[in-house]
Amino acid sequence: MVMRGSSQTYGKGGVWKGAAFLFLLVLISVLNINLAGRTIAFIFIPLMGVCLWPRTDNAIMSILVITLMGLFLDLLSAGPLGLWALIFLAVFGVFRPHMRSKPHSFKSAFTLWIMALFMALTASFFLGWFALGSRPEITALVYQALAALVLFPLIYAIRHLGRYILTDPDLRGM
Amino acid sequence: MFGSPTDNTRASTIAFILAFIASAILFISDRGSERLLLRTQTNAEAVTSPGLAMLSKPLRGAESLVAEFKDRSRALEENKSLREELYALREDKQRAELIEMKLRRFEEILGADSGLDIPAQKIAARAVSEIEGPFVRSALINAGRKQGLKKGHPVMTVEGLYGHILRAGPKASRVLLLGDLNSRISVMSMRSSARAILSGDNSDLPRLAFVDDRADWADGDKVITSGDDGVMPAGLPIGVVKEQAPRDFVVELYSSQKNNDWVWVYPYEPIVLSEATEDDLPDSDQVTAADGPDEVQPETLESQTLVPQPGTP
Repeated sequence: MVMRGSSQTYGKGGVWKGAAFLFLLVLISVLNINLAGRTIAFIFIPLMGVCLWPRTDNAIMSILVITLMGLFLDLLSAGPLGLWALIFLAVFGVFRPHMRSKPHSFKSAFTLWIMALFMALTASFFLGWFALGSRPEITALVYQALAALVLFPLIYAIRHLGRYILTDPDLRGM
Repeated sequence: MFGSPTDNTRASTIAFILAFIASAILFISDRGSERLLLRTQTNAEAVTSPGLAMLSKPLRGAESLVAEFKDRSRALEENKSLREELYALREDKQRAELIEMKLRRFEEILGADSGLDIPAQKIAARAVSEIEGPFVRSALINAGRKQGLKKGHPVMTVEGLYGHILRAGPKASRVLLLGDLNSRISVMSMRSSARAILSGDNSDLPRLAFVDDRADWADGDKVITSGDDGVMPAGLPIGVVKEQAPRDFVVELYSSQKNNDWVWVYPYEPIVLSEATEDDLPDSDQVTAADGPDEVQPETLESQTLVPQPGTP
């Protein structure tokens, strides 16, 4: 595994780029689409913003922004307050995206995404059960997780494109 | 744990633990209590609703495109059935007008007013965000107090009742959908006038609760609001009854059958309960025959809501 030598390999303003990307995903997550009589919701999509969090040297700011974004999603989705903040932090704590030594390849990012999604699915089921006092509908959760799984390549490509445009040409690929 | 070559490992670990504990405290405090940060939530909804409206446009466009293809494929067949329906409705309309005329005459003779509770005024709004998840079923609409919306107002789609206003912000409002776990609506069967409470359970098919053994509910019954709760006007269409098991009824909602882009709100003023205590009220046997239906005490209305009297109009 290649270890990062110095902070110079970090992109400038990584936290804010990550925050902007996560904010956009949070907004998208509270929209849904009705196709062929079935409503497809995207509540797990913001988790991609946490999984693909930029490599940054400012871990404290990353933690703060991710917590606030989790709470913002809780407010927007009118769900139990703190639910998504806890899930975001748990995923961030386990996968530590800011500690990566180099950018993810699609394959490794997708593997990571499946693991993060499974973790979030389990956590949201039990935390939701605790918050509501009744068991959440597991099929609805699984459908939403599947929608997030299918959309991963698209979101990954958009993020990759954004990263390519915003990164200094000399630092691309680092 | 969270260190990097330039970071203080201990500081970031402490920050993580603190953020986790703060989130956990918020999560536990919010459980089963009145919503925390209510004002923050209303403000967040007001600020984000224009952005959400803009983001939802392409999605609604995609939905319309799919729906249009579907409609075109069965346009001829639908045209034929609509024409037949139109002929039948013309006859029904004439009959309804005749009945209305008779009813007005009877009302004049009796000095009674049996008019509809449903207000004539409608406030249109766009459902910019609809969440139908396992935890909550709600929607955000881009109209609020400035447009005259208040908490409790019923929200309709062209198909039927959608929900009611949970929180009204200045420019945006949160709607609690009929399927939400916290939604309870007093309903009745259009066929038999049997009463029940439509109780959401975060699924697509809310249940009929408090169904009396003698209540005449059957598969295919059309469900409308009964108005017994004093919160909703009577007669708003809701859906169709489906009997899943003997005496276990669910309702297929009209509003969940199509995409809900535009909605309207009825500015219905709910019946306000008086401050009177039970001691101030006359005993039921002291109520004389002169006390007509118009003089029913608020407590009576409340008891009708909690324990509906099945089979009684």
